[in-house]
Amino acid sequence: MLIVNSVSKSYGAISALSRVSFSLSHGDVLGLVGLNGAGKSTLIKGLAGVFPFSSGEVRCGDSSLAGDPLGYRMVVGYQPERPCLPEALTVLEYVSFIRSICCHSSSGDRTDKLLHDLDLFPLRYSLCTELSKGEQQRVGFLAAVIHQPKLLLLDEPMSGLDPKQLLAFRRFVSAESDQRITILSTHLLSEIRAVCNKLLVIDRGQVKMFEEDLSHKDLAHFERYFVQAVPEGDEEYSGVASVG
Amino acid sequence: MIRWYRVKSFVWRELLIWWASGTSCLSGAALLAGSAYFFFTYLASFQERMRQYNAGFLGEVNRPSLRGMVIEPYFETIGFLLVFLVPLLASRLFLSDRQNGFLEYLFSLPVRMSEFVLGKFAAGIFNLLGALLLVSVPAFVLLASSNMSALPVIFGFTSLFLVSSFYLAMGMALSMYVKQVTPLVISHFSILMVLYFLPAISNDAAFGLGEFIKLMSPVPYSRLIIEGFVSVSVIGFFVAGVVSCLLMNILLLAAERYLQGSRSVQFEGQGGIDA
Repeated sequence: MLIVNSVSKSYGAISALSRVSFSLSHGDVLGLVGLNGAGKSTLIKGLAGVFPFSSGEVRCGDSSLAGDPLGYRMVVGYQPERPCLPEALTVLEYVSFIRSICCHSSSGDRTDKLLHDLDLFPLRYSLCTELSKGEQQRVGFLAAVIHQPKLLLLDEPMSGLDPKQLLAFRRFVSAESDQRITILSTHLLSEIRAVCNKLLVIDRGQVKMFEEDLSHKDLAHFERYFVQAVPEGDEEYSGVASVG
Repeated sequence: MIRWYRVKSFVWRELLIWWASGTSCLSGAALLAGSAYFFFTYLASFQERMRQYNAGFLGEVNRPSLRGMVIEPYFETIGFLLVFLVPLLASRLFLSDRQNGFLEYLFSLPVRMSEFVLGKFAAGIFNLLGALLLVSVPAFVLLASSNMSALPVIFGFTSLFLVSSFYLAMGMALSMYVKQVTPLVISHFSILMVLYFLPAISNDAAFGLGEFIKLMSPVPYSRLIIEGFVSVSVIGFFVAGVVSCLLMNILLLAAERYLQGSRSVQFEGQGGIDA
């Protein structure tokens, strides 16, 4: 279970996140939606342990982010918005490196299976930087799930994926979602509808809406939801909503 | 507690990256060419001197020695060449990770900063050891083909190892401040040059500060080891220098982790976070 209890992040007078709270159970897939600069990436990065929150508490299972940061990060998988792949390593070398960092034991190595599932097996000896953006995104995703994390944090993972890859990505997230908690930040409402069962709308660092059951909502209802969560006159939001 | 398997993973990664780069081959070739040139120059000078000695132009007490005319000057010269090589090596260790965003990603991995820094440092040391072994080959060959004691070569190699470790750790700490490749290489090189020539320029220092300033340069300590004067204080200078630079590196990385968030907020803030 993931418990996010009143987390805030501020930099002097700038408040990036303000008392964000929610909790998720095993198997939940949370869609995180908001404008550019709303605080989605700050929340995802904070939950990934990239930087500490100013206040509040985060617990994933038995591990606390503040109390046991290494233990916590051991059970977290994070895919950043921009793939950060080293220029001189092949896909297999990079994935093996991440795997060796995150799990010492060689038992349960599922690198080959994941390479096949994500259609990366033919590219395993290619240099990471020679891959297309979609392929790099898939390598980043593979690195995030290689150690079977209990909490998977995906920051706009669909950017750069072509329609075929998008469908494969949906299948993969849905197929493995029962094994973990997934938080997915995206602007694409259709993707949230397709893979998420919960929704968190965030604006200017604050939670505007936390919908705990999306299973019976159609896309139109979903868009209305989103528009309601937006301050009046904020035209940029309705533009984003119509993307779905 | 440090998990050595993580350190090993970083070492392996760094070695793969370093040896795939053109810089490694170019700098290695330049070091080899430079060292070979100086070795044969010193050897030719020694042979000329021996000819003079055998012809009776030098006194009986002035018999030239391989140690004094080839081995010691050769290792001292390699020490100077390291001033050029190490900044190139150190500049690659952190900057590429920072530029492609891996440093930020690293903070989400279950890794201690000390493991990361030690892994980087150990990889750099492995590379330097390889380079130093290569440039020491002529000295070992000379050792095998003469009746000279092995100690001068061992002392020379130890001296180079210690001084290059110190230079490397210093470069790693510096790369926490200077975040572009060219300025980093230039500033690291400049600092090493100043340290190298510090003993020479410190003689003119006022108020008797010259002796104190000399203590800050690794060159006199390195020279002492090459000449066979190994002591705790001499080794301690290098160990203290390396440890303090690595500690500074770890602390600055931890500070950077905090600043990481503020940078992303400045970027995101363009979208809608109000002050």
